[in-house]
Amino acid sequence: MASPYSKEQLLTMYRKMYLIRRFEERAGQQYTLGKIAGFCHLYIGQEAVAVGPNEALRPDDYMLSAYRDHGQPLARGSDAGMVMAELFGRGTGYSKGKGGSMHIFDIEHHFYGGYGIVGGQIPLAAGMAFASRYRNEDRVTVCYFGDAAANQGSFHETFNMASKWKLPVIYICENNRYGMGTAISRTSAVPEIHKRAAAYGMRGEPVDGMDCLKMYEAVKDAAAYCRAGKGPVLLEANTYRFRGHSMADPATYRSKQEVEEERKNDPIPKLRDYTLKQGLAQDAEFEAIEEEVKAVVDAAVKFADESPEPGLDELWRDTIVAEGEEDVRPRERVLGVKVTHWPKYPSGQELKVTWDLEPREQAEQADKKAGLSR
Amino acid sequence: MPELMYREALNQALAEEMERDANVFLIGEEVGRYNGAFKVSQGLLDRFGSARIIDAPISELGFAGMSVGAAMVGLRPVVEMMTWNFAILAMDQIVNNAAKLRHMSGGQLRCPIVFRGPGGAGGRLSSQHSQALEANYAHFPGLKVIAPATPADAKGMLKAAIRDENPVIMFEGERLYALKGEVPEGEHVVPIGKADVKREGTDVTIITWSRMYYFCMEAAEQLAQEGISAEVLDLRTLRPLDEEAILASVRKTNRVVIVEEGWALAGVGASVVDIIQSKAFDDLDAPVERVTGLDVNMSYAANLENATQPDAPKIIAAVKKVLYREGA
Amino acid sequence: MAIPIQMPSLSPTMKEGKIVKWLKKVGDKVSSGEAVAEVETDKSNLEIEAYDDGYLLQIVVGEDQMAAVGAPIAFLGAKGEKVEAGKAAAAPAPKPAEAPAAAKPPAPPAPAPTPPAAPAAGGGGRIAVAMPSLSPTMKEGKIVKWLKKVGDKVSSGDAIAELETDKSNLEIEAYDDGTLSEIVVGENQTAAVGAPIAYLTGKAGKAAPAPAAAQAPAAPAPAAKAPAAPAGGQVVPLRREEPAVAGGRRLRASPLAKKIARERGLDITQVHGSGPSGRVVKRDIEEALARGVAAPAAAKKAPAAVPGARPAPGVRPEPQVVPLTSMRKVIAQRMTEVKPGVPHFYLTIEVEMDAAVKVREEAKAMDLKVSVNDLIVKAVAMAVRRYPKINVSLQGDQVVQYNTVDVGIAVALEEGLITPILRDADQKGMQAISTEVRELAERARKRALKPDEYTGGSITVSNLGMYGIDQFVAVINPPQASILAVGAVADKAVVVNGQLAVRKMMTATLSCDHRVIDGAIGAEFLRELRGLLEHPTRLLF
Repeated sequence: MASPYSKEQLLTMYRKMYLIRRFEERAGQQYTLGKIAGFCHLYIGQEAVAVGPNEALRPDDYMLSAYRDHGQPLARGSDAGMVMAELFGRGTGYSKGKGGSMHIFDIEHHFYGGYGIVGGQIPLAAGMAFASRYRNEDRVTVCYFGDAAANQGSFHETFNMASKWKLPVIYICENNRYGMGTAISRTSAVPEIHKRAAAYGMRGEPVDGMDCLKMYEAVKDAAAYCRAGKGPVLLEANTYRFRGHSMADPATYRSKQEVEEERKNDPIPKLRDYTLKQGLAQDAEFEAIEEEVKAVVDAAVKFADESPEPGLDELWRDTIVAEGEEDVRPRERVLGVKVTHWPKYPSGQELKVTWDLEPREQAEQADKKAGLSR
Repeated sequence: MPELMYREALNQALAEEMERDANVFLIGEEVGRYNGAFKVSQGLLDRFGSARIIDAPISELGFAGMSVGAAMVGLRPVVEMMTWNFAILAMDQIVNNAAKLRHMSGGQLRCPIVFRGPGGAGGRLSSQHSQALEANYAHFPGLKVIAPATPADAKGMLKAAIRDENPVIMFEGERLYALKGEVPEGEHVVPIGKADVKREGTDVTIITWSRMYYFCMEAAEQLAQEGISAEVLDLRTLRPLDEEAILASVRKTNRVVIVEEGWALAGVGASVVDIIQSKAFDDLDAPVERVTGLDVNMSYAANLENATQPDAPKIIAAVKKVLYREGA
Repeated sequence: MAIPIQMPSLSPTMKEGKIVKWLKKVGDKVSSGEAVAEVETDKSNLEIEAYDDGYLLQIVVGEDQMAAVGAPIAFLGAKGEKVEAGKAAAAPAPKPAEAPAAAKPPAPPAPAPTPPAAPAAGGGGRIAVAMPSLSPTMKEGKIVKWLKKVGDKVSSGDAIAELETDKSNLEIEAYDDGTLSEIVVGENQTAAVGAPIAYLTGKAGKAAPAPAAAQAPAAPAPAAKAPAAPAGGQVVPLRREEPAVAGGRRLRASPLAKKIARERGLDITQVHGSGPSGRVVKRDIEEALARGVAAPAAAKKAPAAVPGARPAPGVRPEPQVVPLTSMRKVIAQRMTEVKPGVPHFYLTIEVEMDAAVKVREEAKAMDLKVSVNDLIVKAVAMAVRRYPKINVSLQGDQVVQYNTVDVGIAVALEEGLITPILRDADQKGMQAISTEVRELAERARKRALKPDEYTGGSITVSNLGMYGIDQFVAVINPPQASILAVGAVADKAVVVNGQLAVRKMMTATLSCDHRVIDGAIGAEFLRELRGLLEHPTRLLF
């Protein structure tokens, strides 16, 4: 059977997954060299969960994540050097070194941030999706969170509202089986997170998170569903992190054997095998991509390492927006390039709100039925 | 100038701003078909429709966070908290997201949002429903905190808050909503960060905000009959504090009483005292006195409730103390 | 080329790690991402990964050995490659303490050597803490503040009190261990050097009552009347921070009242306070001003033009008695000793300063802050270096010949003056001199000089030029044997080559101790000094 994917699509996905892998390996190394400090949560093993969905989305769809947040912006197209510089705490990072590993924001690429409080980004995504409906746009919002966030109140409160108001938001639960050092099955009455969608009358499905193409298909389908105004979708990406929760985690709560077993499922060779089998590319092409990516990542480390720390004058910036102050466009600020894809919103005079969240007739009928008159 | 109730002034501000800017929407419990738990949003659902006047489920964290998300992409939400006691559930979204988005994103994002609702004691509601929580929010960089006392300020400051590019926390009061005052019609915007001398005086400065303002005015009236001229400075904004106005008044009267409904420890008044002692030490003729809520939880019993809160007699006693006229 | 595998930092707090186990051995093939060793950190056991491909060439840090974060623990490279000699040895030792264990043979962990236990001082008896001598001229000291209170444990080396001497504020250290059992000299009280100021009780002992003689006098007597502190350790209170009113009680006044009194030149101690506990408040000051209460003698600080500052007609202000500060006392005593004790003679010379002033201007153009006085200091130092006969000191019946050139600089303080010493001034460049002089003067004004910064010295430069003084003679500051008094640089009409010309002139007067310096030596020195200042390029050679 012929592949439904073009060579270009497959190689793009491969390149991005390989980029994340190499980037994270180097980030881990730089952490051990003391160049990166604080918490540093690596994405190694979960690459398919970032890359598959991104290729199924439009560039102007919104995306946000938790604190394991290096993978998604790289998949979206963020500058690897500026992401690395942020991890290094340098002024050339996306957030001028103020956010660090847990708070990558690249608004130009519609990546609305990494959030450090478990589950804290879940309501934000619903609000962004709400704004899309409010403005009658067909944009979707994709929100990543970990399996352990599913036990937060924010998860339940938001799912209720998102479903009730049919908000165009795709929630991707990255179920890597452990919330830090605790297996999700040990703390959850229903460890299959996708089943919880049923409680809110919402679509919920499991996906093989170790397979980039399956992630692609699932999100492609979910995005079409959202854009059609049918409401939110919960996808449970069953995945695995090959590393500890953070750099300081010895991961003694799982056996070596388990990790070895999962490594056989590595999404990167899997996509390469598929492509080779389909006869769409040769080994040499993959090797060329790998060399190219290695150079990109090494350049990213060099860029970060050679970048200065933020100036002390930055201390007092970015807490309160001063009158007339513009938003900062990082690539413009750091690389001096013209940023053209910055999000633009209609003014309060241009905007016409046509959405009726709770249609008047519907409300009046309900009242009539109940014998009420308004 | 028309005389309006505090709640009507707020209603007017909301309606005017929603008319002016389609990005503004109101969300909260009972704001729509019920017309508002305290009738602040009366009639707005009919006027603006269900996408802009949104009845939220009882999920304070959820709808607060959802509104922050909407503000991140250009909308201007007004989030009504039925009372600030309930907003404690939403504090994570306010403090960890709204107040920090600009910072975490290195200036890429802004969060123009208003969280508003009644604070302070409502009257015979016991401890969970009777708390003045403004000091909590005044603590956080990245937020602005306002607490207007009069209907005119309520209107003008809500309008300023909705137009502000930052998260603004607005404390109203269950016992303020029915109070009446003259309110300018139409474009009346009171800048955030500016205190207001509500009554001029020469012997002592009484610094206050929100509902305590009325007790201070009552006390000032009575003191005037005893020949004591009290200046009443209404802070109106608690973050950022209007240092200039505070110091100007202290330099004029040399004696200060600060009246705060909330608890004394780590209260806003404590920070005001700090500004005074560090920047106007040589202008003080007496130690600064504070009148605050007692350091206990609020009781239901009427006598206990009254005894817990500041009132005019307590303020008068404090004024006499700083004037060294005790027992006079 | 061999690539090092470094000891990784695996937690925010990790400083070093111990290799628990090598998972690869020398000669094994290693791929990027593969675990090569297990390491024990301060938090847990983790695996060390290779970040490059290659063969394990050498293990530098063996099992059970420690290495600092960043230190190489092994080398990777091509098969059969040799690690360059010196590379392993070059294993960087960032700090001696953090040197990788590989740098030395593995040794069983030995307990750190502990200093011998301090003997229970005094066998548990009472140990007196004496007023220390902290400067050569110090005769007595005033306790500014006690840093320990009775009952506190004190170890040798602990600062127990802050002390004001004639020169600066210093800390008193305990030299024994024990418990502070009694404070003899209270805050703001003075004691002679050597007198007990407190007692410690050793470990075994209990605080015994102090002998009556050592007790502080119950009622502090006004210092002005007190005789110099006798050696017996009697304690004389010297000065109170707050102006005291009659009867010795502390003055209470609001900050505002104090401010107005200060501005209006009113003696606040004469004002009756109407506030709580007799606190003087604004209205008391206003009433007093209306009545016309006396202004203190020290009112000259108040702006002269303040309306109403003048006392009401008919009231003659009384003189106020202010006790001497410690510094003033020492100055008074030393001057009465030096002037009759050291036979002075004086030599005066005029120096044309046009060239020196130009040097300063050139420095300024280069954004370098160099004053004329800095140049004079440098020139004096160079002249002393060239005429060492002036670099002497009479001590007893011996003459000390110094081999270093240390120049004192007189600094005026509110309460007196002090001469910090610029060491090795002849060796220093203008920039260093300028910076150091400013820094010394700054700390002198804060009374933060250490004793060795104002003792000794070859010669002192005293400059009153900034006050417009043309010429003066200075009193020598022993053990130095000379002092140079420098007047203002001013445009003067002088005769140059038979023509009248305007030049920037300065007059300098050298005072010498005639017991060790003769006129010709002083004159040669001054001539050299003038040459250096008139031709400052000579300072370079």
